[in-house]
Amino acid sequence: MTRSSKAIRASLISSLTALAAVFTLLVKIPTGKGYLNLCDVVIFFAAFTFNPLIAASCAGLGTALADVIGGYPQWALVSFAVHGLEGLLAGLLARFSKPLALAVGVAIVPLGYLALGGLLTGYAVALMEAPLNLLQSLVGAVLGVMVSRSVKASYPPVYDLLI
Amino acid sequence: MKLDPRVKMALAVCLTIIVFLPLSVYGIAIYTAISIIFSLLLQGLSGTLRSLRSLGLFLVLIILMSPLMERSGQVLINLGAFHLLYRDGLVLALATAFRFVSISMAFSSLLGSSTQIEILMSLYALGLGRRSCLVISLTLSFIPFIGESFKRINESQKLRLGEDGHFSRWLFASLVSALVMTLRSTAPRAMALESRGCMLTGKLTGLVKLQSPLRAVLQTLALAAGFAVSYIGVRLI
Amino acid sequence: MKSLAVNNLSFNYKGCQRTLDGLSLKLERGEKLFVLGLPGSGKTTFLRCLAGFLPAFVKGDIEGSAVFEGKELLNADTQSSLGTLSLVGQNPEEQFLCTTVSDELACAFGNQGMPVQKLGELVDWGLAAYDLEKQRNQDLLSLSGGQKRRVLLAIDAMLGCPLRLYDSFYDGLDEKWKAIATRSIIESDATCICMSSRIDQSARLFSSFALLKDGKLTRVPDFQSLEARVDLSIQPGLQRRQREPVMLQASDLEISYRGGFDLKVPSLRVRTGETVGLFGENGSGKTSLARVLCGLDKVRSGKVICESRIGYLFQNPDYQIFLPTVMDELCYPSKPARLSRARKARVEEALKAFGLAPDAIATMLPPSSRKALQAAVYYVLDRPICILDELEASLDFQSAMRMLRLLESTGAGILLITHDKALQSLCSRVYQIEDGIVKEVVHEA
Repeated sequence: MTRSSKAIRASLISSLTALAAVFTLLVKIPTGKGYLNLCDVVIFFAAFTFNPLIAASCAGLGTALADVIGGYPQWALVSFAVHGLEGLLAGLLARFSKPLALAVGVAIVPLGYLALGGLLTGYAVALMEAPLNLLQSLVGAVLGVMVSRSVKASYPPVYDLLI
Repeated sequence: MKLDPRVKMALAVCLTIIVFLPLSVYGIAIYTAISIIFSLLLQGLSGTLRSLRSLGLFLVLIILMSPLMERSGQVLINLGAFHLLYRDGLVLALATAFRFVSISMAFSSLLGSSTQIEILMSLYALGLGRRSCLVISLTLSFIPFIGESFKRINESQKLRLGEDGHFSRWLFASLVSALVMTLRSTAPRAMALESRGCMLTGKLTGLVKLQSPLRAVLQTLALAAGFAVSYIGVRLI
Repeated sequence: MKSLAVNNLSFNYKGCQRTLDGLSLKLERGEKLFVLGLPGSGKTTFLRCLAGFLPAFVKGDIEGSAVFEGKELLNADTQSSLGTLSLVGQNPEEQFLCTTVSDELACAFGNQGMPVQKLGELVDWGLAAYDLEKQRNQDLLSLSGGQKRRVLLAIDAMLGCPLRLYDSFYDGLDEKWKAIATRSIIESDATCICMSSRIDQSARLFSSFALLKDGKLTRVPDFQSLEARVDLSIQPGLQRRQREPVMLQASDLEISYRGGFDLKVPSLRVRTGETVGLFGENGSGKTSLARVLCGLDKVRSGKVICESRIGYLFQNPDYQIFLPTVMDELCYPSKPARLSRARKARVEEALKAFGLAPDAIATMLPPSSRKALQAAVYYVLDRPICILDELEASLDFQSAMRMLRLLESTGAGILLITHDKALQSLCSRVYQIEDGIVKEVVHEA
């Protein structure tokens, strides 16, 4: 790999991870119970456009850092594990079948938060949060697909970024 | 109190592990108190209060919801014919709440009392690869700038759409613009990385003086030993 | 002795026309060259080629050679330019890699493993030399535009490379720092190339001058001949359409903005059919005022009245461009196929007037065309009041004027925010920001 492509890779991973964190922190769609964030949009975009590693970094690191910055550091490790797995699997599966990648990605988030989040807050609260998490990753996935398509049409050099 | 960031990391890990070990609710309460004391020492009163305040909503949820999961033991409160609160439910709720506070305070005192560069250089000293450190540090520095651009994008899309500004339309436009702008800036940012030697592979230094590894190891061992002894003590009580 | 020799350098971005076309340049060791290049003339491309960044980082075709002290600079993929040359780019935000000022200054040296003690001393020197000591632990985001530029200049001085390249050199600096930065370049023994999109009086101190145009670099004998090359002739305005009168009126505003400054606006009016200027130095609060007028920011006191929505052309057109083609962007929020006849005619008119190709990919246009697209969007939207924020940032005077004239022809009232004196003469009335107060000045025709 040439020097420049290493630098581009580092820059791309970091900027997309930062964008995932920004979407987590700044996009707040009000719902009945609280807020939805849209980190999944970037995660699915990365999974469908680049590779599993970039998707995993965006997902895991982006959401974990957003937790730290947003003042919920206790959630950072949980987010890192759950979203990281989401990004990794979505990125891997996207090479074979996009619908499968979407389905698995969407399912992992509520299940992961139920399993690991339950350790933090107890399973009663985790169970209550599960539908909201499912809704969030569903919305994120649908928007992610639409946004990915649109971005690729609007900015064709995206294909040249990683060679 | 000043502690090496690596020791603070060890402290956070110890406090997180210990509250998941078998303990009575009183035991967990003791460690919650210890984590709050550490937080006061490390990030002061205002930082501690700020962190505690951010826990509010979750604590209320935990206290309200957890008792419903555990329906055995002595009935404490009845609502007509419905048994609202059992003794075991109350214990579960309190244990969960204390554990949550303890872990939260452990992490917020680590992050609230260290600068980014301290944490990064500590991770580097602990053996995290140079490339991984680079990605974390870049992400942290890009977040404010990308966040600022995203706010401007939001505003400009909102102003442009005017009366046609349906929420979903505006959101979609903003998301796409933000991604396109981020992708566009990838190349210039990569040039900056290259021209400042970020892609070099030798030793990394920064404006942080970490204490000697030996002292950090000794302090960490002392801390771990303290927790082990206290755990046995708490179990015996 | 020749230090830098560029021979027949040509470059085109993938799928685009040539940006640089057989450019040649020879520089003596220690020579300081000031290059005037209008927006879109390829300043950034030229400097990035020299730094070895093109086509390694952005796809394209390169031809020719550039040799500095016996070392080939083009296609530097196999070698690091660190230590040989430094490039201060146009947009500081795309070059910052750390969170705080002192870490940013330390970054390049920490990456090379400089011992902590020495690193600390070097950073202290950089902070002192560029008057950033107070900002040492401040977040980079919270700095003013001028301070951000000074951070980059400090890093450049700390690196102390023998070949130094500066893009948009005078952008964002106030008079005092323009002078200091120019002097520090002149006094250094490095070979320097400074690119600028506008003539600045501080540039008189340079030893040689050149003009970048049509992909070629032409030397000119002195500063005066460079000044003479800038076309500042004024074209007459177009016929303004009659439209229902609307007025934007602000009275007794008090605005406080980042940096702790206060701006007072006793009275400001913009009516449909007139072009009003708002002038002020960098950082005097022009953009903050515009944001208040558009309703983006709240004011401490006073009020803004306008019966209609205001069009606001942000300084950066990229905030808005997100659809695939120019046509899509102009028709938004409708689809091109579903456009009403009247609107379709208007879109066609805008395409022709602003010289845009309907099928061009919007995000891939050069900066000046993206700015034109942004203006065309508002031409189609036909808002009765438009605020134009620093048109001159990505346009030369003639194209800025053409764009202004076209927007005027819609009959809209225009508030032109700028710090370019030449644009001042195009306004019928002028407000000036002085000592934190917006005052109307009498216009001398």
